[in-house]
Amino acid sequence: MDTTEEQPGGIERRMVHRLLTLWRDARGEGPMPTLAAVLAQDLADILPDMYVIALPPGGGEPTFERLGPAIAEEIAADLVGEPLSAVPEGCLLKQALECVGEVVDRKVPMTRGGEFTNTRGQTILFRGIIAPLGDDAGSMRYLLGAANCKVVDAAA
Amino acid sequence: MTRTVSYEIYTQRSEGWFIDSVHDDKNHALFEARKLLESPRQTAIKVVEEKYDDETDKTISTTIFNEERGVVRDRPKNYRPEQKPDLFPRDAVERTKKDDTDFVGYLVKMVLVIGGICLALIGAGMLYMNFVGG
Repeated sequence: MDTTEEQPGGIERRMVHRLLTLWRDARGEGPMPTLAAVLAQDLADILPDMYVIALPPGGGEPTFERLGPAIAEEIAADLVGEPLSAVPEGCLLKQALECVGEVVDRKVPMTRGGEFTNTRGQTILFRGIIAPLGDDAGSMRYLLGAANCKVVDAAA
Repeated sequence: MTRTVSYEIYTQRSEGWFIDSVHDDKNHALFEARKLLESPRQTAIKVVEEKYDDETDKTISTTIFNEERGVVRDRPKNYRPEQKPDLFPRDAVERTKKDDTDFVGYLVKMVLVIGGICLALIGAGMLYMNFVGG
């Protein structure tokens, strides 16, 4: 049996697949979709785990444009308008943002996952995706991200 | 020694292969590739495994998936799918239309020429009858 025919395992992989599919649908024939085109899609189940990063037109450090409630709740702070460096260590968002530079360089969606230890000493499995968003002229203006995780059961 | 592995999905367009997305998980990349191949917009998909060795500073690329819609193959990484034969090439269609037009023109000319000759013969016959009769 070819397991790759099945839905990717775990809620975190399903979310990544769904966001990537929505991103592709919104993109059409262009290199990347606009933020408006993505937000026009049915994102209801992804919104809590989603975030949007604004890329300053003249360079400089990107800042958070939107943060889903699940992401914001984990870091217990409202980082909208704040730079990426404001994200605290030991949280899901910090791990998820590790491929931001590569997405900006390559201008293609990237998915990554892994394991980390959070501030409470729990081992966390996570998976995330970051995809580029453009403006009407095709220049990259935002990054769309989503990430979720689960605590690894110590008894498992 | 650290080895970084990533899986790049490429889609084929008329201009060549274009990168679609990059994944750190092989099964997820293969899943996405198969899903993409189901899309009516895609004709061919491949997944390239990129292994970077920081000790040697070299990247080894291996194509681990390469499929066209309805065709399963195992091909080398630098393979470029051959052009499919166009069953209805535009120039052939235009040529056929041109041939049709030429043929109609030829028929018209032939009718006019034969008609002309017949008329001339009839005229000549009538003159001859006048001479003989007169």
